[in-house]
Amino acid sequence: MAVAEPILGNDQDTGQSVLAHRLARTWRQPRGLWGWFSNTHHTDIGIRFMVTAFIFLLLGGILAVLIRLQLVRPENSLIGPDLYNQVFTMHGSTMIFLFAVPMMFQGFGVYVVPLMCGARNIAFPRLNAFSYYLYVGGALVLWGGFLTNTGPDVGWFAYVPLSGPAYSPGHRADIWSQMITFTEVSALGVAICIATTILRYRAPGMTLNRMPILLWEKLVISLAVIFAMPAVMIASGLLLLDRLVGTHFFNPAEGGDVLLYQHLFWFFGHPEVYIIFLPGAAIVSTVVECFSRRRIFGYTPIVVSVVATGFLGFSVWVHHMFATGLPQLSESFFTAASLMIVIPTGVQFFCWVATIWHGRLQLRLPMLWCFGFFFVFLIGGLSGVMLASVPVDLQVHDTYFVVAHFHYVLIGGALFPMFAGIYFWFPKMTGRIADTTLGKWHFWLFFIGFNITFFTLHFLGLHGMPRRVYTYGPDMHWHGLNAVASSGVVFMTAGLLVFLVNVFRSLRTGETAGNNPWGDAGLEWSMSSPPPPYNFLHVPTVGGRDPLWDDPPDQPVVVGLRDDIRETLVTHSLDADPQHKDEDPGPSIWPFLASVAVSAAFVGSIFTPWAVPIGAPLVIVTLVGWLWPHGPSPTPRPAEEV
Amino acid sequence: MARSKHQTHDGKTPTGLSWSLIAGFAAWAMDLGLSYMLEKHSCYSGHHYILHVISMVCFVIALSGFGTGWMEFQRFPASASEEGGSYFDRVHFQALLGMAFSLSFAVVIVAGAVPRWILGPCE
Repeated sequence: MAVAEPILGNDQDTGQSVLAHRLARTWRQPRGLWGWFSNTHHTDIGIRFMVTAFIFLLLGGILAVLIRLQLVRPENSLIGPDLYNQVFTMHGSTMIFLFAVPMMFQGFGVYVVPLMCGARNIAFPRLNAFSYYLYVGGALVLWGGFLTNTGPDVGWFAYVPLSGPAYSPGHRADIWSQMITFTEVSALGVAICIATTILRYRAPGMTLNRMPILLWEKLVISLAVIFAMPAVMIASGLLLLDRLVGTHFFNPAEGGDVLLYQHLFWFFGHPEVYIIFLPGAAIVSTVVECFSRRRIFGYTPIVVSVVATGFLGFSVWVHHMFATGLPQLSESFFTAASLMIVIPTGVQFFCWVATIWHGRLQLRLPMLWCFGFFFVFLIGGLSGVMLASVPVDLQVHDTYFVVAHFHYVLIGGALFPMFAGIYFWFPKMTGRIADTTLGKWHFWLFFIGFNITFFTLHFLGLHGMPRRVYTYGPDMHWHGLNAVASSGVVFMTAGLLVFLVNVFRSLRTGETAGNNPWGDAGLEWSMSSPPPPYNFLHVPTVGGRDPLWDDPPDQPVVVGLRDDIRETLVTHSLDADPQHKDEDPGPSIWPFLASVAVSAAFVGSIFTPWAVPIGAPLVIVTLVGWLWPHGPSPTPRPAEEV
Repeated sequence: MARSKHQTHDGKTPTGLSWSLIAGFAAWAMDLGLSYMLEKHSCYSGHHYILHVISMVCFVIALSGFGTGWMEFQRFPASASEEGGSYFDRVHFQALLGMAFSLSFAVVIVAGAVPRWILGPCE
C-alpha cells in the first residue's frame, strides 16, 4: 500500500464527470448471483441487514399476535402449552437477537456511519459482509428449528436449570445457545467495523469535538457490544458444554452455580437494552436537530450522557436478579445504580426538548415518530424507576407489569426511532420520499394500538397475572383486560401493513428525493440519492459540527486519492488529520464461504462435539482464501489524470 | 496557570487529561468490584468500615480526575472553543468531558454508598 500525504485543494475544474465515471468503474460491485454474495459495500450490506431484520420483526410480530390470540379469553385451546412455550421463546429471541440489535445497531450503523464520516466504505468490509451472513445463518438455525418442532422453549434468556440437560432433553435449548453464538459473533464483527470506521475514517476536520452525536452514540454502542457480548457467548457456550459434553458449570450438585449463568447473561442483558436504545437515541438526536432547524442543544452534555450511559449500563445487571436472594449490599448498590442511570437519559431528553423549544419546528413524518418515542419511552422509563426499587420489583416480579415495562422501553426506544430513521433516510437509500399521508396513518394506527395493548398490561400485572402462562381460569377475572390488550394488536398490525404498502408504493411512485430533501447538515446528504458506489466524488473536509450548514461553498476537499484502485483515507483518531491511504479489499466471495463453513461447524456441534475439529479445517481454508494476497496494486497514473 | 495564546503542543493528549478521562470510570468500577468482593468478609468479620473506606478512597480518586481535568482546562489558550478544529479546541473539549465524567461518577459512588451508611451494609 502506498503511503502519501493527500493534497487539500478546491473542488474546481477537475473533470468531475470523468472522475465519477472512473470511480464508479473502480468501486462497482459485481453483478449476478455470484456478485450478490461477493458484495462488500456498506450501503448494500447495511440495507440487507435492515431488510432481513425487518422480516424477522414481522415474523416475531406474527408470534406476538398468536400470543395475544391465545390469551384473549380464558382456557383458550388455540395453542397448547408446549407450542406456547416455543412461541414466546421464539418471539423474545427473534425480537432481541434477530431484529432489535441487527436493525438498530448493525443495519443503521453499517449504512449511515461511513456516509456520516465522509468515507468511501466501512473499515474491514469483508468482516462486515461475513457478519451479515453469519447473522442470517443464526436466524435460519433458530427458525429452522422452530418450523421442525425443535424451537427453543426455555424463554429468551434460557435460565438454568430449566435449560440444562436434566430439564430440557433434546436439542431445543442447544439451538437457542448456538443461535446466540451466531448472532453475537456477527454483532462483534460489526462493532469492530463501526468503531474502526469512526475512529480512523473520519473526514479531515471532523475532530473528536465535531463528531455528530450519532457517531458518538455508535462508538459507545460498539464498545459496549465488544465488552458485553462475550459474556453471553460464554454463558451460552458453557450451557452447551453442560448439555453436550457433560460438564457441570451450572449444576450445583457437582459444585456448579446456577446464579453464575444469570450473572453472565444479565451482564450482557442489561447493556443490551442500551445497545438497542442508544441507536434509537442517536436517530432521535439527528432527526430532532434537522427538523428543529438548529444545532442540537447541549452537545457536550449529550456526549457525556451517552458515554456515562454506556458505562453505567454495565452496573445495573443485578436488578434483573433481585428476586434471587442476593445480599442486601448488592440490592442497595444496584438499586442506586439503576436509579442513577435515569439521569443521563433524562439529560438527553431535556436537550432534545430544548432543541425543539429554541428551534423552528417542522413537524415532518420522522419528527412525528420522535414525538411518539418521547411519549412511549418516557412511560417505560418511569415504570423502570419503579422496578429499580427492590420492594416494588419483588411485588411485580414475573408479572405482566414487567412485560408492559420492557415493551414500553424497547418498542419506545427502538421501534419508534427506527421508523423515524427509516422515514428520514428512506430518500437517501432509495432516491424517493415516502408518502406522508400513509406514513401518518401508519404512525397513528401503531401508536394507538401499542398503547391499548401495552398500557393495559400494566394493570394485568398489578392484578397478578404471571408471564409465560399459556392460559388462565375464568375465576381470575383477567379476561376483560386481556381482550382489551389483544384488541390493540389489530391496530398495530394494520399500521405495519400500511407501512409495507407505503414502502412498496413509494419505491415505485414516490416523489424524487434529490440530494438533501430535508435540508439536513450531515455529510450523508451531500451526495446523490441513493449514493454512488464510491459515496463521495472527493473525500470531504469538515469545518464545523454541522458540515452542510457550517461549511462555505468552497470548503476544501481531499484530492490525491487514486481512482483506479479502491483507496480510502485514514485519519488520526482524535484530530482527524490525514495520516495515510488504505486500500479497500474489494468484493469477495470468501466472507460468504467462510460464514457457510462456520455455520456448518456451529450447527454440527449441536449434534456432535466432533463437528468442531472437523469443521475447523474448512473454516481455515476459507479464511486463507479470504486473506490471500492479490499482488501489487496497478501502477499509479500521472497526477494530472487524478 | 495563566492561559497562553502561543502555547505549543506535540499532538499528544496530556497525561493529566488522560487521567481525568478515565479516573471517574476507574474509581466507580473499583468501588463496585472491591465492595462486591469484600462484602462477605466485611460482614462476617464485623469490619464494616472496610466498605466505607473503599467508597471514600474511590470517591477521592474520582475527584482527582476532576482536579487534573480542571488544571488542563486552565492551561488552554483563551481562544480555545468546544467546536474549533485545532488541537487546543479538541483538548479543551476533552477536558470538559473529563471533568464531567469524574464528577458524575463521584456522584454515582456517593449514591451507592449512602444506603450502606444509612442502612448498614449487612442487614
